[in-house]
Amino acid sequence: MTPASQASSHRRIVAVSPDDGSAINLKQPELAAFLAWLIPGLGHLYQGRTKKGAMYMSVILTLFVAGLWLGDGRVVYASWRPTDTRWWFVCHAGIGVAAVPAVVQSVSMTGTNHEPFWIAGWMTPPLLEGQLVSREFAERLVNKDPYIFELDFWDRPPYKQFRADQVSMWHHKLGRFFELGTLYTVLAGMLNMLVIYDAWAGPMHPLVKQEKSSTSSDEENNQDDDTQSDGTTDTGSVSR
Amino acid sequence: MTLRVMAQLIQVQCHDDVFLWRLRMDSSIMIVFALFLENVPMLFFSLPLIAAASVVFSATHHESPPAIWRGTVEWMIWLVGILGTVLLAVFILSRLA
Repeated sequence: MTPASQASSHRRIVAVSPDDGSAINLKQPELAAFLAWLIPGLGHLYQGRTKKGAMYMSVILTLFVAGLWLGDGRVVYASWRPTDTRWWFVCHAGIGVAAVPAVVQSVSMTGTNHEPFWIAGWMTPPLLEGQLVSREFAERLVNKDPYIFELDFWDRPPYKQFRADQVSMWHHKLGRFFELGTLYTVLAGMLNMLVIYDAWAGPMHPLVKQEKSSTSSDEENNQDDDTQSDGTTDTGSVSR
Repeated sequence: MTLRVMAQLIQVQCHDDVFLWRLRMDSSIMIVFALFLENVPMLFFSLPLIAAASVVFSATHHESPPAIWRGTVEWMIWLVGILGTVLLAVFILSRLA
């Protein structure tokens, strides 16, 4: 192994703490960012920033679960149908693996089975007018959902065809809590974007105005010093 | 709903007495206040959002736990102040317009 390759293999990516100026080992920032997306705070735990990671994890997952609870598990779903495009799911996706069941449920509903993967219906997109569903799922809805009756389905063997609008039912049942649950879960996903950035680049530094020196020669000297210090700039992250 | 009915009753009573202009002004303020109180339960649900956002905003700017908590308090004051002022202004203007 050549000295150059040894140096690159031992390269350490660190950020500077804005509080005490100490170095924060970011390890592999890309991997940390991916882990932070997968589960909020996991990237920080991987980097050894355990307190911060645990705090992120508890805050964001609590917010997400609280939103799901307020919205009766209905507010997080993936739907890209022309009459029901759920743009909020773009923000929900920021929470990572917690939003994956919504994709699974959506794919399963639009597939050949015409029923959700988890038959209980958690994170399932709402049934729209004219949508085909399996008989088993239709029977379950009639038995479990007080808003849906047998007459809400046409018989289209081997399926059942829905003849109402489930989104309206959800809004009638949940009222303002549908919007509240959506807001909680959306905000959890968006806040996790900041957490991902923190895992990737370290804490953000406040903008510091450079003091203008009296002579231009001083400025030139400062610039020379900046370029010589380990090949870094004042972005807050340095590599050694 | 009760507060809304109370506010409407006050409004009707005051409209009966066309000579007491000052009383009408007082009643409109009471209506605004009553309608504001009616929305307090929903405003309550915004507090966890503000708290969570403050913690995350602060944590993305600091590394040590004491600095994070100090920053959280500062962010919370800013967010409550700005959002509260905007909300109150919109609410009052929408009712008085």
